[in-house]
Amino acid sequence: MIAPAAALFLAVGTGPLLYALYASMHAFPSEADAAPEWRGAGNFIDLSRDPQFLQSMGVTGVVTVLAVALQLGLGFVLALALNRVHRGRGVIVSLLLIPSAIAPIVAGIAWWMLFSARTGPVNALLEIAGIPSVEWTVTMPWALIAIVTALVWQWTPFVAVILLGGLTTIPPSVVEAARLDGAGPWRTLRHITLPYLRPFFLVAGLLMIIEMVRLYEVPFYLTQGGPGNETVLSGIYLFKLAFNFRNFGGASAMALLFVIVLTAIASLYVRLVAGKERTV
Amino acid sequence: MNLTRREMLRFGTGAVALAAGCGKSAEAATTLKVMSHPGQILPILTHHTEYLKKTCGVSLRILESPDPTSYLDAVKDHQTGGGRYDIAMVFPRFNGELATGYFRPLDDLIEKHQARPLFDNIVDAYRILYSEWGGKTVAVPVDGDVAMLYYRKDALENPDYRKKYKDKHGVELTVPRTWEEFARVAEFFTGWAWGPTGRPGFGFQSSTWERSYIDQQWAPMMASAGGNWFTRDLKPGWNNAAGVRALRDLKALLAYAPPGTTSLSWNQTMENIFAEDVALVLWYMDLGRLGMSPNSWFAKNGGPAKMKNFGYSPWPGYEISGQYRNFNSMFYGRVLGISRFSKQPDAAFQVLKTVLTPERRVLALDDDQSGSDMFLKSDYDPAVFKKLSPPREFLETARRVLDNGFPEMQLPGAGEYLDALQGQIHSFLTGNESDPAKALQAAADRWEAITDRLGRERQATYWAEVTSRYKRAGLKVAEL
Repeated sequence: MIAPAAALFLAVGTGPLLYALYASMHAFPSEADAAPEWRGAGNFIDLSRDPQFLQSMGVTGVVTVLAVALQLGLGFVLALALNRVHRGRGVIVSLLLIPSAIAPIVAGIAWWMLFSARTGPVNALLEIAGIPSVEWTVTMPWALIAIVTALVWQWTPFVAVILLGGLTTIPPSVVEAARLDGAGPWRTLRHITLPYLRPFFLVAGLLMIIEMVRLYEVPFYLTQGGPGNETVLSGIYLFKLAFNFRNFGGASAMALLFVIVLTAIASLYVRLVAGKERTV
Repeated sequence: MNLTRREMLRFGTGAVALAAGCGKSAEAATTLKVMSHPGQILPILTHHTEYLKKTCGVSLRILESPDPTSYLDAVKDHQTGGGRYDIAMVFPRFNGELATGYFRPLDDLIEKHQARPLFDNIVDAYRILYSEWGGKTVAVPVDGDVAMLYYRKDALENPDYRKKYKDKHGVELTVPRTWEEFARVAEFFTGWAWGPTGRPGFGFQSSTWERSYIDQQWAPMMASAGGNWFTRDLKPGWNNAAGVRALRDLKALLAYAPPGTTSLSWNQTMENIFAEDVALVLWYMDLGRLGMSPNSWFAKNGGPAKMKNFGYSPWPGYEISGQYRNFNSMFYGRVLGISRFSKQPDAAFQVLKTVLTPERRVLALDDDQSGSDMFLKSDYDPAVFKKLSPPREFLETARRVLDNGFPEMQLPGAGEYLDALQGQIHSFLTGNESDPAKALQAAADRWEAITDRLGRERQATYWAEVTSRYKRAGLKVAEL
């Protein structure tokens, strides 16, 4: 009974992964009928010496840390506020999910227009406030700030909805008991709310980390990786390797490294968050 | 082959007409899958869909692919064994990638269908530099992009400004011939109200400075200063004084451009041009071909009336040790090639023949919604335009700048080479890297790594092939 399902899983689940492994050890020349050339670990070695690859990993790390921290922080504040709303909460939640449902390419173009140095509303607002306008997409650190802003806008409501789900699982009797015991809002938050929300933070954080590491459309349409190569995130570089540079072997090697790095980050994150949970 | 105008007209109505049409080779009820860039590029094909169906029995299924991903789609088709397209449209910068594996050589079809006169009618620069690879014809141009210098006559030809300029600089105010003169004129027209708007004007505006286009401006300057894409032994031919000089001069020009110019899109730079306060403009042919048309996309900015103020000239160059070199940016352009996987190459060739046939070609050329610029010798004759009215002076200059057109780099790996260069040029021009030599060195290191990975000997062989075409096209680029 289990054999067909296992075969399907092997074919669909591991087939592409095995092909990526094969591709990561070969080069694919453009000449007609040229067979793939065996490179062994060559593609991985090239990546380790590729400054653009290393830079892209660094920038991705910075964007991920900043964006996920803000998404979780602001998402939590938003969830607390929503938790106090009783009438029309469903409508509000539906509206809040719109940014995360928008196609990333559309979000990227929209934010590019908002941050346009000449015609963008962001600079118009700055000028009204008497602040000099900024060339958001071609100067650092503004380009990075623009990317993080767009990502926070897009995903914070989604995080808030996950955390709101967590807030609704806290038994009112527990909160009431704490209050009777003299716990103020801060102590309630620290000793009741946050421990209850820990698994929800875990899920939201993990989803956001994966999303941020795989980023392509929003940052690409905002900055094209510029100024220079300052905002070439790893997702952008992976795409470029495969399709702009036609380096399928290198791209496959990078994709496999992605899997390894993401698995390591996820394990570490789960250990950190779930480990604390055991001590509650 | 250089034809006089009279010969060209005779050519257009005589020998070329003989080569056109399906004749005996008409295919019966065939459908071809054609990948095309979207928007204003579609008329290149859509003008002929009914004609091809009626006269050749060839139906076109046009599959649109945005400019940035068309190469990717062609590569995917190649990598997965074909079948997705019979004909693909790409930028010629990818000829090196696609002509070595994806595009089918066309020479046997040219002979079989007696189409040689049609190919001889392609302007030499496009035919030799963008249609051929490894001694074979592999594609046909369908959009002839090349940039020129547009200057405002009401600025440069104003007697009062000429006197003011001479008083200040001790030389006559003329259309700049060198980049030093260009900078001087650009500076002169920056910061005071010389134009019809009453606003302080600017000296200079280029097409776009977006990261993925930024080399278009620098590369012809670099070549004019004595650089080249590569040396004979495949070292970067621009990581030298020529490259640094071009980069430094280019950045200096930013001081005379409208604010925020490095982050402007194509449309926004066009708006700047029609705002009538920029004296010198480096832009592509669309501006001159369509600018006078009240129905084109330029018209929303008041094109026709404002275009009358423009004069036309080749790009400036550098005079070094008594030798003057100038090059005009031949970046972009579009070519159509037949997939080697196509099972209907004869039918596909009928499509290529049709777009090259002067009387069919003019439909896309003389169309205010079409982005296809001149590439046939017969395209430069003012008489072929019935709807548009590009000035004769513009057409003559457009033809002349191709004698010194600087083509895109086309070796296999062009996408990666250019990306490495674009990143560093952009970094310097946007102020994130302050040392031009350091920026170019970083790009050069990347180029060396790419060349090593792709095979230095293999790439050198390809580069020798490219430079042999430079020579045949009469390109006076430095041999390093």
